[in-house]
Amino acid sequence: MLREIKKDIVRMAHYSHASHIGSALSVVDLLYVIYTRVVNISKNNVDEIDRDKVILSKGHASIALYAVLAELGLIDKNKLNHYYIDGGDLPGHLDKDSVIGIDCSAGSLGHGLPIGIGMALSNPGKKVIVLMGDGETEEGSVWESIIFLGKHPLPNLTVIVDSNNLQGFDVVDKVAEYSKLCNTLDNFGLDCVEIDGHNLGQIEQALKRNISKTNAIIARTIKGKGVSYMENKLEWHYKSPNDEELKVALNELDR
Amino acid sequence: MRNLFVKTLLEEARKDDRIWMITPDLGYAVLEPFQEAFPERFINTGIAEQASVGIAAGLALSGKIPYVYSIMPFVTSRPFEQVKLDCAYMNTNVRLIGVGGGFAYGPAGATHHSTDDLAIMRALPNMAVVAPGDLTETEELVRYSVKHQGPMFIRLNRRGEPRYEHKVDFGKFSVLCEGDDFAIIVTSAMLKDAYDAVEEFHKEGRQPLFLSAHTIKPFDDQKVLELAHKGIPIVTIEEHSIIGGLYSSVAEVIAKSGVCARILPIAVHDKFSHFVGCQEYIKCKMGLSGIKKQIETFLCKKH
Repeated sequence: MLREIKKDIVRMAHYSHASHIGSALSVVDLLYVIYTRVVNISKNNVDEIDRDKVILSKGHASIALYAVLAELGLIDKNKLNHYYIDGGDLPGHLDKDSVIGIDCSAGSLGHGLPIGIGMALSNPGKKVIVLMGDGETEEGSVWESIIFLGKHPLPNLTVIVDSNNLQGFDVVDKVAEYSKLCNTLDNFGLDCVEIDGHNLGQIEQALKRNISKTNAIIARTIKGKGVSYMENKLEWHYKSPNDEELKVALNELDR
Repeated sequence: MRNLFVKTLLEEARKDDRIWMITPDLGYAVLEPFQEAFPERFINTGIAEQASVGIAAGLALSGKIPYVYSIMPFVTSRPFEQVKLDCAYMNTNVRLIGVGGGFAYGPAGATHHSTDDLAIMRALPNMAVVAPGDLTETEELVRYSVKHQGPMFIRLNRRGEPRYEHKVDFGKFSVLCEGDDFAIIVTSAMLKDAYDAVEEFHKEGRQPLFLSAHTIKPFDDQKVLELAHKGIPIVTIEEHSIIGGLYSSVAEVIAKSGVCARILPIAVHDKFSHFVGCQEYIKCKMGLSGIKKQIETFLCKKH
């Protein structure tokens, strides 16, 4: 199932010529575990307001979310052929109104965490998961939210940082003092743990921790994970695979 | 006006538990009654305007009706992208309450003035924009805001507003005095200034049509067109930039209609205030005083 999702991602990036495939492959294992093992979101309740919520704050990784939602049957799989094209259904960055199942529009960074706080405050009995990028933590609104969470612990909220160490123009480590993020989040009153963001067991365990504070997870990931020529390459924030590259990618993901 | 806002909203909140109040650390000596009555529905986010608006949107996406309260610039321009995306784009039921339109925070300086809020808010799809001019309009529009669908911006003055008896319908100008010599359309706290000028005109036997544009969006296009078709000269009065506010709204309707109309804009002419002084003092310095005289000059001009 996860393999098919990843192949869908590569196919979508190929036919649409859209950017951000590297980000999608970085985050897809996290999304997969969230939707299949952690939150209660299904065909039966997807259109309800009082249910668990997932915010993909790094909205540029949208194809990962589309592919997961399609595989789970939450959106029509045929929609995956209508991405980023004239007359399409699915835009490059998330639009809540595009299909049922997108809990929050996203694209401009740093919006997801405050919105997730609002959702978690509104519905203490439901899980809210906010997934953002490591580069995204440079946004001021993220720190406004982290300061808030220190004094308003929300055990039903989980913040995951997809930490692939690549941002738009550089390596995250070179732009921001990032190595101490986990300690910093702890010091601000969240409960932070670092995991391998491609190890499904570790992801599940971290998401299901029973803690009284806000759960923060730094997931160490690899941009372009699973496709050798994309892994850890900044250019795959922007490029889309050509016909030959598509073949190689699909072969590698099938292994 | 701000105290009446809280009093009115408190009454509504007793009947409707979806109402929340969020402030990025402002509202001292104003918001306490709400905080005391509903501590579980009151949040001081700290000095964090972007997060305040985002949190409000998250609450709204979960079925709540959050009111974000602050001094005008800190609920409009400071968190503008959150307003645009989290409130307008996602069409959430967030209410943005800006206190101190125009120069209400006079001596505090231009960081606390607001002469661009109507312009930037009305440029956003889905966003309703209201600017009550007296206590009647404040009360009616705050009550209306609870049932409105979609985001809404409410521009408040600080204090000292009169109460005029008139009918207030969201989306329609209120008629304060009938007449057909010329028309005065006024918004927000300039209502009192306009009212005083109209009284003077009455003493001289002149009968202006006196309209309060408490709703800037959706705008009462129909009423403007009616005036234009009758050939009645129009005066617009606002404590706001000439760009993008009431005058612009009126001019856009007329330009699109193809009808010729004369308009006098009494507004702030694309300038920051560097003056020090109270609201009335700065209004004088910025061209918002001597309204009757400005209108007389306009009406005497040959065209």
